[in-house]
Amino acid sequence: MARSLEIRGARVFLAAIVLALLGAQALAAQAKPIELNYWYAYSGVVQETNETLIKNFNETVGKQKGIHVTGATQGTYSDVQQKVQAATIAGNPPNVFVLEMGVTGMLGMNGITEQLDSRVAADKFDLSDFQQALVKSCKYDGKLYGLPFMPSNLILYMNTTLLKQAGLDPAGPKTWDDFARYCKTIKEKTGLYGLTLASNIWFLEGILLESGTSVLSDDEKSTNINTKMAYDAVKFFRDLKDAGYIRIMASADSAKLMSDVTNQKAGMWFYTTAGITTFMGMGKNAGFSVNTAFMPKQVSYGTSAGGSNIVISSKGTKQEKDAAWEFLKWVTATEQTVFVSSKTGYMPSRKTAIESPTMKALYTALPQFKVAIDQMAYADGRPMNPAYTEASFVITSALDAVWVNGQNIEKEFAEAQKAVDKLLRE
Amino acid sequence: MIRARHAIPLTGRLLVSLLIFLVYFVPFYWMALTAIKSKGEMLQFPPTFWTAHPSWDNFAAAFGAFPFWKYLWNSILVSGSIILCQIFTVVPAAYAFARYRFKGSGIFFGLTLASVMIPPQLVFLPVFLLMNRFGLINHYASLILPQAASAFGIFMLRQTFRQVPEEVLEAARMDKASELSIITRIMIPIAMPTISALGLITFIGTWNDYFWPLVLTTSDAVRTLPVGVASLKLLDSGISIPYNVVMAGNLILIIPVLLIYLIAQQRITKAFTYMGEK
Repeated sequence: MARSLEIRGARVFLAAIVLALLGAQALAAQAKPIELNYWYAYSGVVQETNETLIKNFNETVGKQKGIHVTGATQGTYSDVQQKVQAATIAGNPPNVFVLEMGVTGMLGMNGITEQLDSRVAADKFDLSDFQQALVKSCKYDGKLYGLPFMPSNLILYMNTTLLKQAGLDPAGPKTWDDFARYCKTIKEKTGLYGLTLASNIWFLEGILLESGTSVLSDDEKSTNINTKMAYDAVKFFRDLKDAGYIRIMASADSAKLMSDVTNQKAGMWFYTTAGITTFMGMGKNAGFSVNTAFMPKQVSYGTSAGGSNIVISSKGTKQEKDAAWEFLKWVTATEQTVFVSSKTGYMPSRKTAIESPTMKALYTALPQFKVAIDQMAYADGRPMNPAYTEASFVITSALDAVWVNGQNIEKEFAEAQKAVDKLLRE
Repeated sequence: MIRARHAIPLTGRLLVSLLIFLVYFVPFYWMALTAIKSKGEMLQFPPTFWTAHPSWDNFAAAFGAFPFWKYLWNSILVSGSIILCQIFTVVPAAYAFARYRFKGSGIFFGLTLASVMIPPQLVFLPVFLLMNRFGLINHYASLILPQAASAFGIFMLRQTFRQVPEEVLEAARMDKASELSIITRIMIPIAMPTISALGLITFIGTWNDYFWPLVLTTSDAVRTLPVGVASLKLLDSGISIPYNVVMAGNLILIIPVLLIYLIAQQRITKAFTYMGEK
C-alpha cells in the first residue's frame, strides 16, 4: 500500500516536472523573435547595401516587433528566381526575396508570391508616393504582388570627350534625327562609331514606346512587332549600321559593349542607369567624361523600366507573412530608398526620396544620376504576361537576324509574331 | 647520312610538341596574366600579352568578396569526406563484382554502369527534394551523400581487381584469412595505383564542382570555393564582369588541385601503365 502511494507520488512529481518544462519552453518560444529568411541577388556593393539594410532593420523595427531577418545572396536575379521556385516546390522557400520586374507577374500568377492588396488596404499603405510605372510592374491582373525595390531604366550614355572632338554638343541628341546626325558626324570627324549597341529586348521595348507603339498589345495577348511602326523603328538603326555609322552586335555578344566603351571605340551607347558609377569609373581610368541623357525622342520620349521588386513568399505561417510585410514596408520607406539609391546607383523608387536633401545634393553634384528619374515620367512597365520571358527569346532572335545578319525585316517579324502570339495566348 | 634521315622527324616532333604545349599552356598563362591586370587594361582591345603595371589588388578583392577561408575549409571538408565515403563504398562493391558470382550480379553491374550515363542536371530536382525531405538542405550531408558512391570508380576498380590471380586469393583463404583482410592486405595494395588515380579524379571533380553546391546550399554556412569564385562575376551587380578579379579567384582555386596532382602524378602514371599488365 505504501509502495503504490510512493509510485503514484513519483509519477505525479514526474508529470509536474515535464509540464513545467513544456510550459517554460512554450514561454521561451514566444519570447524568441520570428526568424525570416531574405534572398537577394548579386555581391559587391548591392550585397553590402542589402546587409546594411538587414542590420538596420533588425536593430530598429525588428527589435521592437520581435522579428529577425537573415539575408543570403543567391547569385543573379535568374539564380534567385530558379532557387525560389525549387525551394517552393520543396516546401521551404525564403520568406522575402527579390524578383526582376519582368517576372513578378509570372510568379504571382503561379501562386509563388503573396498577394499584397489586402495588407495595403488594412494598413492604409500609401502607394501613390511610388513612381507609378514601377507599381504597374508589381501588378498582375490588377493584383499587387510586390513593392518596387531597386528600379532602373534604359538611358543614353555619351563619351563627351569624343563628342567634343567631333564638334558636337555634349548635352546629346534630342530626337532620332539629331541622333542620326550625331552618329554620322562622329564617324566622319573621328572615324569611330557613333553608337555601339548589343541587340536586346529591353532596348526594343524602349524604341517601340518612342515610336508610338509597344512590344505587346494592351491586353498582352499579341505582339505589335509586325506593324509598320516597329519596322520603321528597327529599320532606322539598321540603316545607320548599313551606312557604317554605328555598330550593332548580337545579343550574345553584349559583353563586347564594355570593351568598346573602355577602348573609346564609340561615342554613345544605351545602358541601364544602374551602370552610371561603373561607366564614370571607366571614364576616369581611361581619360574620358561621361554624360547621360534621355533616350532620344521619336513620336515621344519613352523607355522601359526595369530592375527588381521585393516580394513575400506565399508559403509560411501567418506570423511569418505579417513579419515579412513589416520588413517590406520598412525597406521600401523613403529613408531606405535614399540610402539604396545613393549607394548603388539604382533610382529611388519614391517621389519623396527624389526630393530628399541627400539625393538633391547628389543630383547637383552629379546630374547624370537625375536623367533616369526625369525619364520615369515617360517610362512604361515591362510586360507582365507570364509567357513573355519565353516570347522575348523569339523576338530577340528575330532582332539579331535583322540587325546583325541583314535578314528581311517584314519576313522575320511576321514569323516571330506568329510564334509569339501563340505563346502569349497559352 | 643517318642523321639526315632522322633530322626531319625530330624537328617535326619538336614542333608538334611545342604546339600541344602551347594549346595547354596559353590558357593558364592568360588566366594568370589577367589576374594581375587592372580593369582598364583587361578590357583593352587589341589585348596585351604582357602587363607593365601588375595590379596585385585583384587577389585582395577576391579574398574580400566572400568568406574565403570558410569556403576553402568547406571545400576541403566536402572533397575529403566524399573521397573517404567512396573508398568505403567503391572498394567492397568492386571486390564483390570482381570476385563473386551472385544472383543478379549481372543486372546490378549493368545498372551501375548505366548510372554513369545520367547527367546530374537530370537528377538534380529529385535529389533536391529528397535532401529537403530529410531536412538536409544547406548541410554538409546534402553535399556529400549524393556523391558518396562512384559508379565509374566501381567499374575501374573491378577491372583492376579482376587481374589479381585467383591462386593468390586461394592461398590466403587457405591461411584462414578473412575476406576483409584479403581486401585490405592483398587487393588494396595491389590496386593502389588505380585507387590513387580514382582519388585524384574524384578530388578534382568535387573540388571544382559548382552545380551541386550552388543548388543544395542557400547560405554561406556550407558553400564551397567554386560558388564563391563564381560570385566574383557579380561584384558589379551584373553591369560589367570584373574578369581580372574572377581570374585571380580562379588561380587561387586551382592551386590545391595542381599541388595534389604533382604529388599523386607518379602514382597515376604507374596506374595507367600497369592497367594492361598482369
